[in-house]
Amino acid sequence: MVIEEELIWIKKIKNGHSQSFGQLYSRYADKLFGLCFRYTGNKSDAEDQLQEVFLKILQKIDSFRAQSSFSTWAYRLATNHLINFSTRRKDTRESDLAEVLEPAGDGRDVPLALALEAAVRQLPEGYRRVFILHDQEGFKHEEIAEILEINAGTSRSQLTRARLALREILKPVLEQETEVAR
Amino acid sequence: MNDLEMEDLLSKSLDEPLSADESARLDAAMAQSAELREMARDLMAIKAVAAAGRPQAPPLSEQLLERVAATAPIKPGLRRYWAPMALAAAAALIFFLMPPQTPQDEDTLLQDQLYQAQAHAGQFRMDYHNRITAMEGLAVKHLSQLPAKQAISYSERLGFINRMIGNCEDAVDSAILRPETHAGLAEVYDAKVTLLDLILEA
Repeated sequence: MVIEEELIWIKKIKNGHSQSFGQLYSRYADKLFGLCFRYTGNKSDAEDQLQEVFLKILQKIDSFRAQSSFSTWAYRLATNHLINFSTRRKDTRESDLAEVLEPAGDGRDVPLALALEAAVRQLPEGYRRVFILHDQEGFKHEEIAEILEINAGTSRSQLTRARLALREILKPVLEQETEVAR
Repeated sequence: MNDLEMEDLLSKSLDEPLSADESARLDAAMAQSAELREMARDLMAIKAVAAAGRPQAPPLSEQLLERVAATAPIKPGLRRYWAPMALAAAAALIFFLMPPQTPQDEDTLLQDQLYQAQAHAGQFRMDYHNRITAMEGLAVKHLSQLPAKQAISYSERLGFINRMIGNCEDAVDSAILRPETHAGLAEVYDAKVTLLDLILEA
């Protein structure tokens, strides 16, 4: 049902119907914004990149042939765009994550979350994209396989390697936390 | 089982239930290795905070709509014929269902609407949508008040009006997205006259 509805919107967008673009935006903006935020680390850049991603979707919508779900196609496009963006932009701007975490006030481990965000940026791209999609954005390995055009086994093994690499980077923070817990 | 396989199993256990055999092997390995237990604790801590901090996306902005307008994939054939005709339908409906006005008033009204469309795209779309909905209500009311023997021809008219209403909404979107359709204003007026004749003859 969702897929049929999206196909109708896409057909209308191809015919220049802006209202359908608005409907597609409403459905995917939060999900794609999460991904943009993971790659940029701050809300302002994430908002800019969200615009770029939606424009890219619009520019390439004629090439969408419904061979995969729109969701998979859009995430593939967004991931490739964001990888290019983060490769081009080497400067690391101040992160907004603390600001986003504080109001939640739900007992999350804020120092570890902040350290993790910085650590994720140090991962090799292959590990990073799988970690973001799986542990941060909640995709299954089969979905990641479609988005990144790899096989599910590769996704699993890259996730394991990413987690272990993060553990190495975060060792001082994790040890400190263990000390405090004792 | 080597370390690499055990790491894979440990990582897998964070995401999905293990088979009885896998679970037994992992439990046995962890019972023997403090390092593996420590690794399990660290990986669980990392996974617990990984999804933290997910901000909400901003609403669809005017700025993005403007950029969409510059890249909207409207097909050349449709751009040439469809938008002016749809705009004509919109104008005809306004003329048909709203109080009569002089041609000069109409020109001013339509030009003003197009200008407003560019200046206040979002608000204009909402206003226009409300007006189209009101027109639809008027058309239905009009139909319900007719004698039964005229109902069929007026049903056909209503069907026609409903199709035009659909075109109106598309026309509004098109006018907002594609300011160059304003250049076809003369065609719009010609088409409007033809369309009005059709409606009034029905």
